Amino acid sequence: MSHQGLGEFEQMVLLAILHLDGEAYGVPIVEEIERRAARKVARAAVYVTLRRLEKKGLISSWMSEPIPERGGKPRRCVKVEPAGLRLLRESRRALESMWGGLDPALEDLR
Amino acid sequence: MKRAPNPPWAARRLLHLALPADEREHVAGDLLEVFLRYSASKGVARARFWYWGQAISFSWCFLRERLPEPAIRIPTKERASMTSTLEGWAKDLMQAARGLARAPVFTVVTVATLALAIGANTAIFSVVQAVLLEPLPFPSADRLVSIRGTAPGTNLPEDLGVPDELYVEYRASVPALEDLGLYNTGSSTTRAEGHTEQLFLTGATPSFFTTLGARPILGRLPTEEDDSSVVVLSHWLWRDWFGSDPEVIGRSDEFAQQTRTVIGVLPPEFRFPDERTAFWVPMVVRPAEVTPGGFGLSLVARTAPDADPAGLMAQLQPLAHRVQERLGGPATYARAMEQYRPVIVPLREHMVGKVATPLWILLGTVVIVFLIACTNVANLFLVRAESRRRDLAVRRALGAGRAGLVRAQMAEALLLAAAGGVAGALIAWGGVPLLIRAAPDAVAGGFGSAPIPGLATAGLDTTALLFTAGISALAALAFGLLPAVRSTGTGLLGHLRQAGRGVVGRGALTRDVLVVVQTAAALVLLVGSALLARSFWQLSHVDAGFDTDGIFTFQVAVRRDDLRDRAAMSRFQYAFMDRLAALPGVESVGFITTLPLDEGAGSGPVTTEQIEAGEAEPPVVRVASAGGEYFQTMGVELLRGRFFDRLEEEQGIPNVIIGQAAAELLFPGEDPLDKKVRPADDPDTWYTVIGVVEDVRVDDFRQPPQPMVYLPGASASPAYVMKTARAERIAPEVRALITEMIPESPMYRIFTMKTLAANTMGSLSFTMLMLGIAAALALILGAVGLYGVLSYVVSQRTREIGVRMALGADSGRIRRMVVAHGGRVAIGGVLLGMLVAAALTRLLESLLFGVTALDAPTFATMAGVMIAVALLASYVPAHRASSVDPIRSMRAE
Repeated sequence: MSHQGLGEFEQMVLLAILHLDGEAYGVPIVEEIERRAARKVARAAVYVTLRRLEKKGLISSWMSEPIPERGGKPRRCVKVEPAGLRLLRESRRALESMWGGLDPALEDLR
Repeated sequence: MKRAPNPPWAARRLLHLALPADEREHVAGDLLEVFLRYSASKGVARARFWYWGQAISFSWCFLRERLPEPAIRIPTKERASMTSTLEGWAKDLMQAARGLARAPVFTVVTVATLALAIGANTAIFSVVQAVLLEPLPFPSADRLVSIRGTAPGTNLPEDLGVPDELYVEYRASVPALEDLGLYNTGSSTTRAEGHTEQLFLTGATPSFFTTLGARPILGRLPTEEDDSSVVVLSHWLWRDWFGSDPEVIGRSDEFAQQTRTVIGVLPPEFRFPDERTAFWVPMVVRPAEVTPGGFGLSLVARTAPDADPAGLMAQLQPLAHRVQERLGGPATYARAMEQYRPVIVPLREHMVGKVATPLWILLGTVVIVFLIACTNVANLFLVRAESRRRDLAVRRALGAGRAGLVRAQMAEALLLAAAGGVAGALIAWGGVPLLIRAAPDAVAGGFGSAPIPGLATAGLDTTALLFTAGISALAALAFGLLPAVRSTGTGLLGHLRQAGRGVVGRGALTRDVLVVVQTAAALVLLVGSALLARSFWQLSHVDAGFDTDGIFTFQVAVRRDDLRDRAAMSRFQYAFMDRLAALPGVESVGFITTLPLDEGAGSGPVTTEQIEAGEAEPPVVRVASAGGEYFQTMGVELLRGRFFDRLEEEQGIPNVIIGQAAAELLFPGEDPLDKKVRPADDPDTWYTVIGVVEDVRVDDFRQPPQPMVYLPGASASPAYVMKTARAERIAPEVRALITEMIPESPMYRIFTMKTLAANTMGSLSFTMLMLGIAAALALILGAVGLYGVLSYVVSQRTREIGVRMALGADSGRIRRMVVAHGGRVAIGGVLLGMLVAAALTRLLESLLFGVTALDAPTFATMAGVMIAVALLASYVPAHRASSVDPIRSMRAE
């Protein structure tokens, strides 16, 4: 499993969880991505991604107490595991090294 | 406090079903949280809409997630031989499912097309099954026949039924008949258990029950020893009136105006002659006492096991003459019996009657729609296969067997057909009740007309579901196999060599042929529905001789002990009509013994002094008794003379009003006013003609008007007609008036003339509606098919078109090229369709009116419509072709 990289969307979900700092569950994660990335996100895709990330051991989750305002349903709260953090860093490093030295060229193209 | 809004229930169920168990709770909570926020900010309706979107999106994503990962699978010969076929299929199905999930538009379009076609077929099939195919609920029902009679060349009605003397003769001397029973139907006032209602009854000889193999669930059935003082109850009457009381046997009540004792109850499945029959009373026929001329009875018989129709006919044929010779009788009777021909019809055909034709037409129609749907899907498959040729060629080159490749493609077809079948079964499940409800009263039954036997029990049963499964499998074969075999055939490697460059696939011709078939099928339906629509238009513009707007009608069986004689009854009738006319908004009121379009009119021979002097045979005309302002209410125009007068009627002065045709028949070239006529069987009373009215169509709008004589009449149970703008709503007021004036008298046959008129056109309008829907569907599917093919051809020829344009072809020329292709295919389809339609429209003949089955204008117009739609469908791809940028099209390769 050494070259199991992260997809762009997976990175965004992981980063959103980090931004939310302990308050992370489905609803705010979707909002965080939409706010920061300024684009619409398919809600279902976020949940499927969360499921996949948990299977890969990159995040962990636990159920909150049932909440009456939500029809007595619990939240599923998530946090990023060390493995997730490591992969995020790797992705960032890889991308940054790819971007290295290209900034002037991109400026030109704009 | 206002309650918080809820997300749609069905959407929540969908989520519950689609999500894995460990995701359900918190996803539901999250969605509810957002739903409540949206409801507050954007309104509940939009929030619910949003919720549905989420439910579908979540279901889709999670179901897809659960499918296995696609394996990049290059099967080798070795492996193929090792893997069992079953395992191979399972893998192929999995792979197909994934492939389809990645092409949602293709999948949805295909499944929806198939679901519609399969659903329509299943729905119609379940009705056909219940009505036409399910065996009748009698033992050895295939040996049961209805025997009636006709006397061509006499002026008697076409359907004479069987006289009782002939029944006696048939019983005594026809070995080909094992058993036979005589019966007769009618309606009469019945009072029992606190109910008073006009109910249908059947009078039947004891042999009627043995012939049909009836077994009572309680008590016994009538025997030859019983007289008419006993009664056998139908299951529904026993249930509804007697609360299924097992102690009912031996109880006496008033059935059909006579006190009778209940001796038995029949099981629920015994509904003969039809399910309206509330009870059966014995009909007593004593061979020694029969007299000539009792026509009009019905006969049901069980043929001997070895009897054949021709042999039976040969045995029955000479008997009428023999009976007449023995019994004598008047000259008209002798003539009738001389000409008498038995009419033998299988019992089911007799019971189902006119409904069979529209039902078979409907089944044929949906089969055509099914065919179109299959060709459409086959076309989509061909296109899909074409775009995969390279992939298939690679697999083939790497050693995959052809069978394996065909199987892989068939897997998709099977999955789609299965999904279409399931969705189609659901459509049929919801559709059958709609279909039964959409069937007009004349078809579905009401008080006025016999209901279709078995229709009420139509529904999805095992047979219908097997049928669905069968046609789904057929569909998969039809649209899957051809493309699968084609696209994996020889030449695949050639494809690889050419690198798929710029060639128009060999599938082009196949696709064109499919579109030709489709266009032809759609045209057949178009022509059929147009013929029916024209018939409908013609029929609804027939001048029936009376109005149908704003007329309310009902019958009431008057029961009052002081109304014994004619004068008293007549005085009562006028008093009653005065009260009816005084109801708000009522313009006029009249009555007639038999109402046009409902009970038609009686018929009988009528003579004049002249006919009598010349000793000619009196002609048979239609006869009814009318009174009050019948003609004014019905809008039957007075041509000469005057209408009946109230005083004359109360006094029973014998005046008569005759129709125009009757005037010409009875008094050719003379002034009929003040002439005398009399019914031939009433030697004492001559009636004076006081008026001539326009002719009316009494039976239905198809039959031309017949000569008609209106006697003056007092009647205990006539049909009253009321002219009022409130015809639809006045019934309760009339009922209240009856309760006040003549309690105990049941009111029945409650209609508006408009309903009766609609009913007479029932099977036509029903068939027209169904065929119209099918034709519209076929037209759309056909157009989509053509559009799909041309779009694909254009996309395949982009490079060629680019070259042409680079070489100077202008965009108009390119457009014409594509439209011409569409036009050629459409014309091929139209030609084929015209031929097929010409062969098939004959089947509609019994429904057509005022238009022939080969009506040239209809054929031409519909061919025009078809071509116009085809050109329209070609235009979009043509436009796309003409806007090809030559440079880009070449670069694209």
